[in-house]
Amino acid sequence: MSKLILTVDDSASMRMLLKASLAAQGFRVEAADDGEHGLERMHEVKPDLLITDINMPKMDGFELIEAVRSVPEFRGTPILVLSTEFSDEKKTRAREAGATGWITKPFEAAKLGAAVRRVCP
Amino acid sequence: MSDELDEIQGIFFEECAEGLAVAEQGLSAMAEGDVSSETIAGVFRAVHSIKGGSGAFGHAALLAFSHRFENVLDEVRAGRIPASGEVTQTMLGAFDILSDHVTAAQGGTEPPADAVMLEQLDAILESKGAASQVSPVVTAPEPVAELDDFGFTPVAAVIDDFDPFGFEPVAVELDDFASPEPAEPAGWTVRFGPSRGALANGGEPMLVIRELEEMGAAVTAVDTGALPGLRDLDPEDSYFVWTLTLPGSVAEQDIRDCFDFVAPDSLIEIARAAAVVMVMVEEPAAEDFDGFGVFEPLPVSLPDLDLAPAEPMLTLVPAAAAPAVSAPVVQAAPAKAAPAQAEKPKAEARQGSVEVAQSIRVDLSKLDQLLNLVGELVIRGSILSDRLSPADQERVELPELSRLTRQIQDNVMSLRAQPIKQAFSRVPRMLRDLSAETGKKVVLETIGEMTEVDKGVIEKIGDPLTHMIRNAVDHGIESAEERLAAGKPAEGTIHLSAEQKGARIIVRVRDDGRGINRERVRAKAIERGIISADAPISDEEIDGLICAPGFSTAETISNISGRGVGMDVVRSNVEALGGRLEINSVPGEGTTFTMALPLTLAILDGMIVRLGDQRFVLPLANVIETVQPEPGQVQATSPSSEVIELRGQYLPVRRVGELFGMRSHRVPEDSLVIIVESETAGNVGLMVDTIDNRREVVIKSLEDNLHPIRGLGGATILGDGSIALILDIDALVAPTGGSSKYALKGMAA
Repeated sequence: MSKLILTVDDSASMRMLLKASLAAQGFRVEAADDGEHGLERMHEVKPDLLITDINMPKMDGFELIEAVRSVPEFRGTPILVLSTEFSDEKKTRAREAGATGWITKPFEAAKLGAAVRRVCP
Repeated sequence: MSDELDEIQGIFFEECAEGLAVAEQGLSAMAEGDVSSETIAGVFRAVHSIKGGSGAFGHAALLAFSHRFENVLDEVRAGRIPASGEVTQTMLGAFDILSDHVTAAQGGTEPPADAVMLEQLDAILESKGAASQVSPVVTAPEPVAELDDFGFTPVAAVIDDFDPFGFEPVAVELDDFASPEPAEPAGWTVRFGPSRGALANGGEPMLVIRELEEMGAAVTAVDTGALPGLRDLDPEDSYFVWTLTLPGSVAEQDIRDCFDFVAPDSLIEIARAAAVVMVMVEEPAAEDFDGFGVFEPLPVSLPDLDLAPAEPMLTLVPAAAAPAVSAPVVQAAPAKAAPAQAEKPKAEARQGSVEVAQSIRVDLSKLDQLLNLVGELVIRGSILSDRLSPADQERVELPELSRLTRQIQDNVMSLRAQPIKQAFSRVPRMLRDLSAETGKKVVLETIGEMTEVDKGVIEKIGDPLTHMIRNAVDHGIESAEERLAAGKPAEGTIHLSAEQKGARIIVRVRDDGRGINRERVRAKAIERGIISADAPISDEEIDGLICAPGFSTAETISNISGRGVGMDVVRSNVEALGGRLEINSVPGEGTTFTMALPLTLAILDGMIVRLGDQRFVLPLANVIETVQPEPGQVQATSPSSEVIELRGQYLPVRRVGELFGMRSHRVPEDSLVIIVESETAGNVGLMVDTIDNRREVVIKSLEDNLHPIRGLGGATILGDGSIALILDIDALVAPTGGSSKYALKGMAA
């Protein structure tokens, strides 16, 4: 069974773009549109990898990561954060929240795949 | 994929439109003094999303502009730039250009000129020296230049320049030490010692090693010296230091990329082998491993790890001497997460899955299809109830089926419902522009903006609303001096409200201006030949005249309203939606425009009338009253025209059958005259044989199959399965070739 990835992004086009890119590379993809739904979906689908946007309404990406990491079951699940820019401060914050790595938007399909395989072979 | 991309791009532009609306609303609020962090964050997020997507779809100009705009917003959001009036004004200007950029990107047209605005934005950043503080990633202006085949534009160099989270390279500086032969670069030696906690948060050093191997790396040594006893072992720590060699042809950056996601404070040394780490490992061949006596080389066993990471890990240490006991445990640790994930879905598959995702985005046409099908279902239900006796209906539980059908119908309708806020959101901005143009100060009060209306209605009330607001500011609200003289506050107020009443949405625009000057309106109407000089006319009728085609009381044509197309456009738009427009004016106190709109455009409240064996549907919104004529009440004024006398007034009467070429030999006394209101010919009597009943009908467009037929707005299927044509009153009674104002297109299927 191919790996299952949960993507969380408030932008439908970004979700679809992620899905299209990842599906083309053989991943199964589930999606949620904000942090709160993302957390619910984590419990539902128990993905092999979580990719989350940072800037989202309701629960942002950092909060989502912290919430996910507080669930023992998800302590080891790789999490990539997705954002248009990564200052050192932002990376540190993501890392502290429990992220495994990050992807910069916009992404090329190949780079996305490489980053994903780096944490989710 | 390209179709898919097109589709995704379409959604992106929808999001842009939504984002722009949010940004506009937020900026407007800011201009009015609401500089709360939520407001600013909302604007930032909207622009940020537009930027994110524009990069992904290769809209370079949009990306570049939104990026610079976002920079300023980011500073404002962080409080490093105050949200002063001046800054907000600049951002409003930037918003306009951003809108133009979106339009250009969507239409594939030339992007707007934004150089001046960019300078202004930069000036804001520089004014507080912020430009330099913005993260270098954000300020990289170049990305636009390189569009690649996929239409992806790198936002910045970051994509090619992953660097680890807060990782300070421990690596030996290559230039300081190595002096590689230019001809043949020496091989790389990489040392990798994941820091404490390397296995937390989904970290997995094994994957780094595997990625290096794919580039030709071979693990040449593993230092297990730090491995503690079993009791002290932390499963989230990695205690090993790996040494790998890579061919010299591999680019250093590619090697560094592998360590992107490695925990900070890990040991990572990358150096040309010949120069630095030779002391430790001197080109060790595989055979040399026996010499160390510790491990089988990792490369041999790692490829086996794919499916069951835990098991092969154990096989990694067959030759281990001292650490033999604890090593398996250590090695099992990184793999722990994997089996846990594999098993738990079975055991806990349903746990925590009580709630499902709360919203999805659906193509509007799919909803319309669904609505259409539900319409069919309603019709089939009616057919059944017509054909079955009441007893049979009970027996087959038809009432229950009908109730369910109605519920489904209501539900599907509600899917199309959106808060009217979307239509209202344009108003504050528009008012501010109008204030600036006219010099009149106006305050907006909004009530009921969460009232839900069919999306089709929302899309179509924008224009009428715009005209009404413009009219209110231009003609209604007085100048500050005039207002003060009249004992009113200098600032005018416009109340905008929405509420649901039955199956209608009532939208009101009320101003506290001077009211309609009836003398002037009347004089103008006479001058324009709209009414005759001696026509007896009530105040309400005079007020209604401002919606007459071609009427304008503006003494000079202003830039705002007064083009003479304003209010009659409003009226015809509203009526095209199946709505009604009312005007109430109190001289000196103000004017209220009231739009009564249908909740939906797909269902019509109709009166079913019969003509011979044909049935027609009259939109109930047009019906004023029904008259059973007395003998002599309907009189012929010429061989082809008749009038009905009604309370001392004469109204023209049309025989509906004859309008459609059907002969009827009925005398008026055997007929009914339905008085309807029309835009094109005022109140008119329509003569029909009988009234069947009144009911809601599902509108079916005829235009998919037939050319437009004057006087017909569509068709519907009645309970007995027969088809009834829906009359377009305005077109039907128009004196000469009036065009159909009864818009059934779009919604009806």
